[in-house]
Amino acid sequence: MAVTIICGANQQAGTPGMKVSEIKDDFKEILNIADDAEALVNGVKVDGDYELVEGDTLEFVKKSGDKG
Amino acid sequence: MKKIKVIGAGGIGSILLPTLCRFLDTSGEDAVISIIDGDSYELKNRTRQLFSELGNKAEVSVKKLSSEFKNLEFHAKPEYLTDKSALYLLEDGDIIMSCVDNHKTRKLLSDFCAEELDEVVLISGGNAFTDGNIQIFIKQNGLNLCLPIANEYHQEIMHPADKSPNELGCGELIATVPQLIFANNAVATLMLNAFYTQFYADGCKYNEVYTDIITNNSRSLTR
Repeated sequence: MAVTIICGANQQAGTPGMKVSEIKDDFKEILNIADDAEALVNGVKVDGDYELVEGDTLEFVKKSGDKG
Repeated sequence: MKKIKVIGAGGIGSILLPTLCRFLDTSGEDAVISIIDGDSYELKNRTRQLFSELGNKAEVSVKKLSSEFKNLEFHAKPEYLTDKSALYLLEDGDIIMSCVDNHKTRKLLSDFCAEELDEVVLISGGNAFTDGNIQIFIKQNGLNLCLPIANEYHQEIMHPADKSPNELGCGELIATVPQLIFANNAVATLMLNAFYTQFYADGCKYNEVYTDIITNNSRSLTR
């Protein structure tokens, strides 16, 4: 089972065993992850050293749109 | 009777309003719609905003909509939302559709709804160039049923770095950030979907929705 990586409306499948910081680098462009985006694993805040296990859902929290 | 306050009649608000009013007008709903905006339509707004003449956005919008939707009652409030004006513009029982273009006003709205009102539904939208999101806050009987829109996950609203329009001094212009009408439209649609779900279906089971017009993905979630 893979891990799920989410940012805003979009998601990708990732590989278990990777650290949050590594995933952030790998998926930065395709998911448009901001440098200062907070990371949540299964809804709980984690730091960049957290290592993902099978079934985890990692969300990089996207900021609210500021314009309108 | 529904008391609907639409704050901001620019990119999102001017797109949201005709659809909202058409739905309410033809459904026989007893509704009062107040449009709050201190800004004016200018020619440069034509790329993204729907208006029939130049002038204050609240007044121009009310003039147009009231001529088309005779079953609804409209009020124009040609002023910006501030700490002071919130006290007389907003009240218990309001359904607030926030279409503002800055986080400072979102923070003001968030705090006012969460701390000063006992009964309110706040649906707040915002966009970047090709994506955006909405947030929903509901307070009933004095209890917050979900997180305020300024919360620990949205520090950009908790600690806004921008200014509200009324804080800008003479000669101080808001930095022009390119926007796309399709992003405004996508966010307006999410807001209307949430409005319908909250009041005509089973109620919103989520308090945030993200959308991306490039991938055409949307994702609703609860925090």
